[in-house]
Amino acid sequence: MNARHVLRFLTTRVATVVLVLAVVSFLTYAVFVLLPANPAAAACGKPCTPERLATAQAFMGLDKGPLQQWWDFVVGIFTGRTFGTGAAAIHCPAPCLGYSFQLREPVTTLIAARFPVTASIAIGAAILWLVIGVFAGTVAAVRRGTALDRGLMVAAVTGVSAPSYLVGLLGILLFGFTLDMVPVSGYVPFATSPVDWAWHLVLPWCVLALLSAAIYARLTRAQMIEALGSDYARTARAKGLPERRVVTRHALRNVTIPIITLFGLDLGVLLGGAVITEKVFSMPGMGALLLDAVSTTDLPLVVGITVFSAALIVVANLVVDLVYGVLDPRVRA
Amino acid sequence: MSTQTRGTAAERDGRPLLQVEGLTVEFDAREPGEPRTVAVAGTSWSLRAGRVTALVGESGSGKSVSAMAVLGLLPRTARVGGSIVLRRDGDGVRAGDDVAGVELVGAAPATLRAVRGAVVSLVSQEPMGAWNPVLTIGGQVAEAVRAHRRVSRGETREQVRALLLETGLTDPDRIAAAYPHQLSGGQLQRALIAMALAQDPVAIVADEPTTALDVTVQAGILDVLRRLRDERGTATLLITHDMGVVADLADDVVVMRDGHVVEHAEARDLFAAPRHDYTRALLDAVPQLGVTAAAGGSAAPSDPTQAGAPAPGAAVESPRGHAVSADTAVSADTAAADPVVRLDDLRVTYPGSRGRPPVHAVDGVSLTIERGQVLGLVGESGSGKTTLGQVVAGLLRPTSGRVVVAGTDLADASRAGQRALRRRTGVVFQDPASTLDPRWTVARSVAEPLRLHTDLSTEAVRARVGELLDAVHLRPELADRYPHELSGGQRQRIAIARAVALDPDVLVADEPTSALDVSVQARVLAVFRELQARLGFACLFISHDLAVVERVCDRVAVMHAGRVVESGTSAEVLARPREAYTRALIGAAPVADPERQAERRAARAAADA
Amino acid sequence: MRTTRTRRLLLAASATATALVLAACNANPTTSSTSSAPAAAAQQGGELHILTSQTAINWDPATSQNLAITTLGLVERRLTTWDAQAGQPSKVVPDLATDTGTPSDDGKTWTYHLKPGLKFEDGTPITAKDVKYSVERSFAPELSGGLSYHKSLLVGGDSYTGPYQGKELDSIATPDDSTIVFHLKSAFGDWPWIVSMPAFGAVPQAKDSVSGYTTKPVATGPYKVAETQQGASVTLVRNDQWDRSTDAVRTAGPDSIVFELGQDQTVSAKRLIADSGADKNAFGANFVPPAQLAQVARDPSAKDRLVTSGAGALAYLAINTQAPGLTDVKVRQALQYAVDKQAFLVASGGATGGELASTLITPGIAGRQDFNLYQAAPSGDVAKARQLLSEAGWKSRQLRLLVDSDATNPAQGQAIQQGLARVGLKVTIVSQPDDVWSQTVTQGDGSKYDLVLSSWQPDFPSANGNIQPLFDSSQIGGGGYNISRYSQPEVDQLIAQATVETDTSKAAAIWAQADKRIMQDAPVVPLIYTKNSFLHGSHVQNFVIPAFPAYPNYLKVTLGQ
Repeated sequence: MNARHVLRFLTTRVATVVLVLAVVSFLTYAVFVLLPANPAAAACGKPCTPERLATAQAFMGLDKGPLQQWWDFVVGIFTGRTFGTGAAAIHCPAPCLGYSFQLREPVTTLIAARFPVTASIAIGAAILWLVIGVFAGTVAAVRRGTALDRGLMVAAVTGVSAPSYLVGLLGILLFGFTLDMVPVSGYVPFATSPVDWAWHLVLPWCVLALLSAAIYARLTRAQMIEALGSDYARTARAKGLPERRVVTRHALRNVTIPIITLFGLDLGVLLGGAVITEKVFSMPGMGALLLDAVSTTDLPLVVGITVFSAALIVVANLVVDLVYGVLDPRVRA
Repeated sequence: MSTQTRGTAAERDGRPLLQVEGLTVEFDAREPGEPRTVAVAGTSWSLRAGRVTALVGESGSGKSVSAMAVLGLLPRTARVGGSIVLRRDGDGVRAGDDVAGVELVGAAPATLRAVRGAVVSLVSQEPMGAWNPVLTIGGQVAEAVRAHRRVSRGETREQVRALLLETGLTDPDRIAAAYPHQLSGGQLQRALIAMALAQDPVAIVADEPTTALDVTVQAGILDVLRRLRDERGTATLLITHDMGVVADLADDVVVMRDGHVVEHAEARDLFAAPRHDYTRALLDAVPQLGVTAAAGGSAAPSDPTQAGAPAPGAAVESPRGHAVSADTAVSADTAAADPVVRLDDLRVTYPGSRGRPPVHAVDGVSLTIERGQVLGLVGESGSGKTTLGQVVAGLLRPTSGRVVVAGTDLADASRAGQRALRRRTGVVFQDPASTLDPRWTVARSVAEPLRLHTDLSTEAVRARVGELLDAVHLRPELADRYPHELSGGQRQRIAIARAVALDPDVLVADEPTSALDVSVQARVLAVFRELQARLGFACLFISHDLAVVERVCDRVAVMHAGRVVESGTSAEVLARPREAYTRALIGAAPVADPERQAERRAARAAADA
Repeated sequence: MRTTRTRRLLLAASATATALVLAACNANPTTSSTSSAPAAAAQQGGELHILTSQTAINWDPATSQNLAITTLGLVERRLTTWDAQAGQPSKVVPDLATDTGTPSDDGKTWTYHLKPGLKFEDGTPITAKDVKYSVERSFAPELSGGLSYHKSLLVGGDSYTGPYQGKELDSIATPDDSTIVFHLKSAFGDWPWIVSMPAFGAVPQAKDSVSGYTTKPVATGPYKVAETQQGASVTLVRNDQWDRSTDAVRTAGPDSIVFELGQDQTVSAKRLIADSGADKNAFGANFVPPAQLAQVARDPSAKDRLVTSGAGALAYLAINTQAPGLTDVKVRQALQYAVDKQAFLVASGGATGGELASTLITPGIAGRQDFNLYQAAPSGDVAKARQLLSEAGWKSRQLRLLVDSDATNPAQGQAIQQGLARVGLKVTIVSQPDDVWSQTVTQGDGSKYDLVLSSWQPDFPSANGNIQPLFDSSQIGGGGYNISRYSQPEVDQLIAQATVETDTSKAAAIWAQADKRIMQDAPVVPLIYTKNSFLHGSHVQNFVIPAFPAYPNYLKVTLGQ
């Protein structure tokens, strides 16, 4: 791929990204317009007179039509926005994803504060489930038909269907309260103490990983069985390579390709907020923020987080495509 | 790299390198309660150093399963019995045995692993599938070099280079750095042989090593294998269904059928005087260039799978000669009047992807097919013959040029006109399994064009389906079967029946028999010829097999790189080719006669030199 | 989200006069308003942890709806505050001011003097101008969302838009640095309670920031904000400029206080039951979920650390007095007898969930008179109800009962439905999520419902807070909470009369009269006074839930060993 093609590839992708984000943000606005709840109600005060409600709506920009609101949002991403006038004006610098009137912070700032938490949970858990899932799937494939294989797959089915809130709570009960091995809740920033950071995250990582590892184990097993039955695996065996090497060097390299695709997308989604896990483990991540924003009808925050999450997924897609090119020489044209 | 003749010791004492005794292979049933499938039912044969032993048979004969049993590469569901003893001759086998040989049946995984690659190597059929797509060729060959011993990085690289050079790959550095998808089938197969040689094995198992390749490429691969035998003394177990390849390369032949060995003889003797009826029938079914089974095509060729006795007509071996046959003469008469297909300066160009130059798949072809005439389109893969076929069948719009089919210009035709044209054009593809809907009965598949393009009543359709099945010599009760219940040959005959259901003006047949065993191929070709004679459609018959083309075609056009390099009557072109490319093509196709093949080989070598 | 309303209450408002529908549904028989002897010595030191499901603390007094005795009270003082103790009605007491206010001009002018020597956390003295500025900024549209009772009471308040355009509110005068005078449009007897609200603290104009004050307030109370981790925690440390001698209500026991934010309520409760490590020094700001209440009942050690409030917010069934048929007072009176209050109490968690209600003014409010105009068994009087209905000539029609699905459990709605079914009233339950529910009942024209299940706790412990928002005809629609759409000139008259009365005992008498008068018209059926249960760690002392409000008094909590 030469530079010109890379450029064209990127241009197309960026255009897609922009389009996707525009549609996502517009739909979010549309949904809120259709809802009977009024986002300005929380900013109205107590008691709430119609005049005060109108004032709050005007200040938040909710008196404009939904299309105008959406357009203001889009423009704000590039130019920043200012709410109110004079000494009390609130400025939301670019890239402004909106301003939460309830939390009195630009959405961008809030996301910046919460994202490291979600990223800590998501990336750690993702690495864990990738390792566990691929390992278990490989073992099951190599030992297929044995009791070990059946055991692993039964565990995987259980894992896939287990509700994460319940697993999280059971994890806290067992390892947190009964065994007192790990902290039951809370988040410590990495910068404060890397050890405490990891210590507090162990349980959320395990709970999230347990659930996803099941899916990866099943996928890996299926792919691995196919790879081990392929002609190239037979060629590798015919060379006199030990089975271990056939599995690791030949089959696994090929199995990795579809796994990585799924992994990238899953990670992208998870980075947008591990809603339930964050809630159970009292982690101040993006998921918890979104949950709160929805329940308090904090429209700007909901839109901002939704757009950010959508962006993450689109970016994850892009990264997957690029990694794909590295892993699979056939798509490197 | 050692190139000493290692077979000598073994040859001296006359003992075989590999002795197979009473080998049985059974596969577990998929469902409990069903009987096991017997793939090999007690065969005995041997492999000697410095000789090529061919395991020959049609699909299902157990030849590949036997070969994989030697390497211990059968799937888990296989149950192997009998004995395969590998002779020890001082190197390779490290297993702790103190007898004369190593028993491979039931051997420990470590023993098998020690044998694989180091003592016996594998060259498998599909060169693209045999390579791991995500690793470089060099890396995979290097892995073989270091599979059983420690070799430094630099030395490994040197050995990889040397191996690639030895198999005739002239730019080993580029090949080593390439990924499989970047190389051609021939290059991959040479590299695969190089990899098989990496540990200097005493024997190579070559499983259909040239089946997926073009004839000119095949010739090169066969040369490489021959050189290994002659120079290294490598014993080669050659698995093939192609009697031409056997004639070209094999010293000994083991003919297998339904898991049994029916004949085990030296190649020369076998071809000269086949002792077993099956062998004879098998040889007779092979279409040979310049030798055709029956002049008129009316005789049904033998079906060696049917019985031991030779089928009527199979014994008749009259050369078709170079004279124009009666059929051709007839069509020549009507020729100028009304060509059914006329192509004028036809071009099909695919835009280059990602900055590559555009591909001219068909690059200015002009040709005509008269009513009742069969035009054979030959050429190697990538020559553009399939693309041309698709244009004639109306499946692909040309980039430029005129296509007139049955008097209608494709470019001018309206949507309805194209539809009308399509009903006057029948198509038969290479793989019948993929063109028949697996959920439809035979009757439904055959009736489909009738229901789409005619107003026939249900009874009339049913009656027509019966006629069509009869025309392709299929029993009427097959009408209610599903494709998976039929054999490959039956499926292809159904595809032909469907293609001619509307009594088309033109039939496009794209490699209709390439996926079939020779005996089945013979039967399908006979059916085709009979139908063609009766219905008188014009036909574009696409094939890579010159002998098949000679058997069924009146005229031949040779395609190379998108152009027709030579055309004329079959007799002229195949017997007295004018173009060098045509000559090379004809010369490279092996004939099922060791004597003649040796002569041809010598002639070819002389021509090259 | 079962907890939305509850959490929002604690989050931004902390027990505002909002429709708190039966937030506590529990089954623990223990009822005590404090676990430690109230007289325990006010120990100093330690780090108190407060576990809460809220994810942020809004310190801005203009936008906060916080109760005087919870979070904001630790950091920000006001002109007056609440003396809220177990077992006695809450009193309004001076805080920054020397007294609870001196009325003049027939209650239309209120004058306050600041205590001498008061300082902000940075050492600058607190002046009357800082108080005036704090009130003024609450009028700015940029800072709307807080308790706003004062906005329509102060002269010129309706048109004032805050100090940021350089305008002052002339109805607040500061003749000197320690005196502040409020001019009201009309007399308002409960003004001393109004100035206990967050906006009547002090904000130094120099340190004001429309967006920043919410996280970085300038402290006037015993603690100041030391560190905020977005969404995770807020840490308070001692404010050394706070002078204990000027403050009668804050014990300021712990050296520091950590709010652990965004805590799952179930996990919080489990931590407090386990009572290990730092959790010994913690209490939960959320109600204990029913499952954990049951667990506590079986655990003697945890049982001692569970505190259940006395009678708190009023849960009631509002009857749409403008709906067809329900305009007839006889029908509404029939409903008083038809409702099965006992079944509703059981559905709300039984004895720990609350106690039966018959009056509109809730226990713990000064001057409340206990009465019951519709004497009947706890499960109602079916015969009487039928009789009244037939007298009214009730023509059978389906009644729509609107419930808030986030704040009510299904059993509560069914208890009402089944009770009314006994007298032949057919009820359809219409369930709406919290925000939609409040939109329907406070903003709509009332055509969407016949009955509403709701709950109410006043923003300040005065009968005014019980009666005026729910029954004044000015509060119908337009954001008001008169969801019965009850309009009775006589009652409006009584409310007006009580509102302007500056003599608290006289006012109380009028409110009690209004209570009875309203109940004669039967616009609502009082169901139960709800109770709330909280858990605390074993080192936490002086964990008191006063008679009003039914929340722990943060200002009094100390840590023992």
